[in-house]
Amino acid sequence: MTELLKNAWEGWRQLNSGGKLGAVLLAALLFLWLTGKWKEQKALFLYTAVMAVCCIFPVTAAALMLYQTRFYDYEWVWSLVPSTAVAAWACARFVEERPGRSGLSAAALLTGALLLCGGLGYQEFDLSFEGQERQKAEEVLALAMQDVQGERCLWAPRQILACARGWDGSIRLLYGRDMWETSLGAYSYDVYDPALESLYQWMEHTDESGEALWDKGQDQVKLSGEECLRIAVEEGANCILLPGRITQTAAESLAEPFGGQLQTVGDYYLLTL
Amino acid sequence: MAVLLWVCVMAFLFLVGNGILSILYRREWKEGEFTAADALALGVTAMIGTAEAAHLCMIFAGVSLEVSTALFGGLSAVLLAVSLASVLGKKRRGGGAAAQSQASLAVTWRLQALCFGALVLAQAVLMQVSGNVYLNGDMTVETVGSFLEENGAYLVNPMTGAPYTGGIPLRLELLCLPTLYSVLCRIFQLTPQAVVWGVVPLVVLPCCYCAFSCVGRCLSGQNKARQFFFLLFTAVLLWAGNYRCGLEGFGLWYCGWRGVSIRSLVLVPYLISACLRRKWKLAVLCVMAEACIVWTFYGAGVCLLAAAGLFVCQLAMGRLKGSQGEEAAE
Repeated sequence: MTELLKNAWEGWRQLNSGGKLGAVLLAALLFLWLTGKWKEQKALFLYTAVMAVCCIFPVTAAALMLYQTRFYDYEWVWSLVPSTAVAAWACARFVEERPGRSGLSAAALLTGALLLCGGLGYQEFDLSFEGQERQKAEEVLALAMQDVQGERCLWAPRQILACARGWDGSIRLLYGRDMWETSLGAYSYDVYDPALESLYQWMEHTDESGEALWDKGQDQVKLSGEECLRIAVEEGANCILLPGRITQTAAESLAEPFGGQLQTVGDYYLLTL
Repeated sequence: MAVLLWVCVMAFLFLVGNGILSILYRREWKEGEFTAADALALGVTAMIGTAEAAHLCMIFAGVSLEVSTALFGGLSAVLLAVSLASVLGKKRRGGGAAAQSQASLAVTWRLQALCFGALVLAQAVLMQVSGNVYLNGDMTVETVGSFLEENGAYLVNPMTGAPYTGGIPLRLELLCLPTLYSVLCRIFQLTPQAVVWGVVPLVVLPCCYCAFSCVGRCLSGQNKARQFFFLLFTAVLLWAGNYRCGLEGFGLWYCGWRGVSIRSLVLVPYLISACLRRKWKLAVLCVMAEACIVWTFYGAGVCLLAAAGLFVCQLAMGRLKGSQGEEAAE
């Protein structure tokens, strides 16, 4: 419960960290109240005001979070508040009262103010960068998969694995996005074997010699490339992309025991078995 | 094929939405009460219902995606036929959801509509050109891909392509959007990415504005200028509110295919308009549609709570009005 309350409090703060549309809603409610326009749709006004207070106040917000199930985070409780509709209603009433040119100026001014409140280009996530990364990964996948016959089981760095199943649903992975995106764990009761977790740690943290250190709880575990590759092959991987930061010599020595083909694909070494 | 899919889906939503309206309100139909916007927004609930039926057959009867696609096609055809018959019957009696709105369009209103249309079109073009999608916490494309690959629902874990070891929560298994998208991929021979990231957000975009225009009509009555400004500021707010996950604008711009986005952008606004007009049958359809696409508290989601909240507020305001009236009389 304490965690839920903390999430509710932090959620409201974070919601207002980038843009200020929360403040726009409160200003709209205030405008409708002070000008008496709320009487045009009393029920909607009352509902919005009550729900907005419930979403802001941590205790009621936590209760709403329980209602919407723990599957969703704090930000989704705001789906209960018709903030866009009420803010647009207030803006429309504000502009409508000013006839002719002053109305148009008010509309332009309000539009500017709303865009300013909306973060104006600021985004919590760099989606265009993610898009470029996805495109690069798909190009690597296309090159890597062209010569693999039959069932394909891939083990690769996470930027490749992240888009592999979306790119081609027939590719099997040793582990998927749910290994590092914990929220995806809610979609199934499956849990990964610790051996697969060590493969993930090695793939993401290996140095140029093919060794990696994994901070497992309070211990530090040393992961060797040979051992990880052996586990991966035993698990069925027949298409392995090794990160380019490993030296050519180290990659060749890692691939040698398996007798597969090693070639360079983009920034990766491709080992096909 | 993507354009064809978009046209087909929009036509389906419009026709079936009209049909539902004329079936539900056959007796108490009033001139000018419903418009094309109602039909389009309501069509979304019909499509979700059809997809849910096909999806449940896959889950509980164990039929393949192929059979499920045929079932979806068959159900859609039946719905279309019933809708057309119902709408034609209504027109013969002098009604029709969309026809009445065309008659009295003034020039200014047309100009305003053109201006708003240009804004929405710019949004649609920008959405397609930027190609930005938000994928955190979402695995729709992988799920659709695995449905198509395995010719069935949840036969493998969409994240890995390997069989499930622990299984999947039943409440998640009941949600029908992956099946709907898979069926559309199958019928129109498109990739999951093209349908989920490309076409679906472009279907949600007009439906969203239709739902908001229904709210606008409730708030503005016959005042066309106010309706126009309401929609204009809705568009600006949706544009401005795309900076953070959870905001309606963000859903519209970057993840329009997700159940939570469809809920926030179409179902909730339409439900609000239905509640304000006291059209409780339409509100029930929104509640049911939400239960089919979003993980809810055993079916009780945002739509149910919003409908209950608006109902209570209307009662409270009615009482307040009543008591004020009594006081004035005294």
